[in-house]
Order: sequence, then C-alpha cells, then structure tokens
Amino acid sequence: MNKECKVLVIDDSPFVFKAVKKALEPEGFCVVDNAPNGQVGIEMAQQYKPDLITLDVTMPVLDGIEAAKVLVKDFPDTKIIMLSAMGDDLLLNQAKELGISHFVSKPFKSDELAKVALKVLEGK
Amino acid sequence: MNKDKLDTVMKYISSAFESVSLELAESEYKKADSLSIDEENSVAVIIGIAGTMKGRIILHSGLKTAYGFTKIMNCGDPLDKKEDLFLYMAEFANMICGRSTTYINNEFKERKLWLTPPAIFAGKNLQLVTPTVCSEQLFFSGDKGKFILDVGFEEGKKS
Repeated sequence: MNKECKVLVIDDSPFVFKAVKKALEPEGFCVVDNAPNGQVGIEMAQQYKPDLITLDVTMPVLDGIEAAKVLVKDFPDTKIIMLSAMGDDLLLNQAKELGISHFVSKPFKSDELAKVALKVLEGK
Repeated sequence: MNKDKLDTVMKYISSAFESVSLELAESEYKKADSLSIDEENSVAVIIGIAGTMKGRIILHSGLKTAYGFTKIMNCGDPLDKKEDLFLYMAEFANMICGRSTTYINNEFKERKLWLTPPAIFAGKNLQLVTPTVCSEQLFFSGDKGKFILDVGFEEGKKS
C-alpha cells in the first residue's frame, strides 16, 4: 500500500475487533477504532474518515444493513466489507444492491480477510 | 412446523455448531444423545430468531468450559477483562446462529430466520425456560468441554 490505510471496525464484538487488527495490521493497515453498533459507526466514520470499513450485520441500535444505507451515501470513497456470520443469498443480494460486493464470513482466517481487504482497496 | 421441516432445521443448526467450533477453536465436536452441564456455574447466551419462524436459540455451557474455549478464541491468550468471557461467548453463539441462518434461508429460499443481538446470562445452577416455545435440545461433546444448544420455536405460528 502507498499510504497507511485507515480501517474502522463496526461490530458489537471485541473479539472481532481484535481479530481484524491481527489480520490487517501486519499488512500495513491502521485499525483505528471499534464501533459497537451502526449508529456509533456512522459517527465514527465522520470522525475518522476511514478508507475501509468492516461492517457486521446483527448489531443493536442500528444493524449493518441500515448503517450501510447511510455509509454508502455519505462516504462514497470509503470501501466496505461486510463481515458477518449471516450470509444467505438474500442478504448478499441486499448488500450488492447497496453497492457492497465484498463479503467475508465469520469466523474468518487472518490471511483470508487481508486478501479481501487488499483486493477491495485495489478496486477489484 | 411439520416434523420434516423441523428435522431439516435441526440438522443445519447441528452442522453449523460443528463447523464453527472446528474453524474457531480447532475443536472437533460430536453430537451426543444426551448430556448435562455438570459444572455448578454456567453461562448461557440467548439469540432471538425473527423472520417467518420465530423463536430463540440458547447456547449453554459450564463456566470453566467457556473460559477454556474463549481462551482458544483469543489465540491462547488470557482474556483482557473478565467480562470479555461473556462477549466472546456471545460471538460464538452469534456465529453458530448466523451460519445456521445462512444454511436454512438458502435451503428454503426465503428469509425464514433473522437474528437479534445476543443476551447473556450467567449464574449458579442456571435453568432457562421459555414457556411460549416448543424446544428441542442438541448436545455436543468434545475435547474442550460440553455444550447444549436449546432450539425453540413459537408454537402454532405459520412457518
């Protein structure tokens, strides 16, 4: 990567935050913070202006699909990876309709997430 | 829900437990006919099910088992805070339920299940009862301890 890439994790689990850090920081990403729900995630996105967001689906207050509607509109330059244990075809289609075409299923392997993150940033 | 449909749902939930525990903690779990949580202190995570099938799934284990399992989830390191145990168990339950949802929704080609965020309970001699649901239990035994999944759906609801 040419510049340090900022990553925001929107997920209600501290386990996932730690796992994303472990996967992406060795690849040169800077994982800046963890939002425990979609609402806080939108606020943190305004604060950090991240290059990449990993977004959970099932969260309290505001779920990932509802948050994605706002994030895609308000932060068009930010790439989003849906990172969820739920991944049925209906959900994936819903995400695709919002412009999110990258999905990683939980639990994930570190190298798998890193590979997808690099691909997303390269615009592939 | 008819018996065939319930059998299919239980088969997918069982399969989700086995694959998630293998990927997450490299633990091979096998279904058992019956078992009980014999630790005095235990932890339970409840995940609500919305969608065309309504109910809940409870993941129940002993506290010592939960400590051991979450330590493996944390790359073998002790958890940073005592409370993290509950959050890690909640994520384990979320992964099992999420994968079950994926299998079931894809099988039936509709949004049968949608999950709500987990609620966590811990205590001595914990017994959880949801009177409005008809539930079945799945028992799992492996090298990291014993787990029970109590799967309940509302009775008399269209599915």
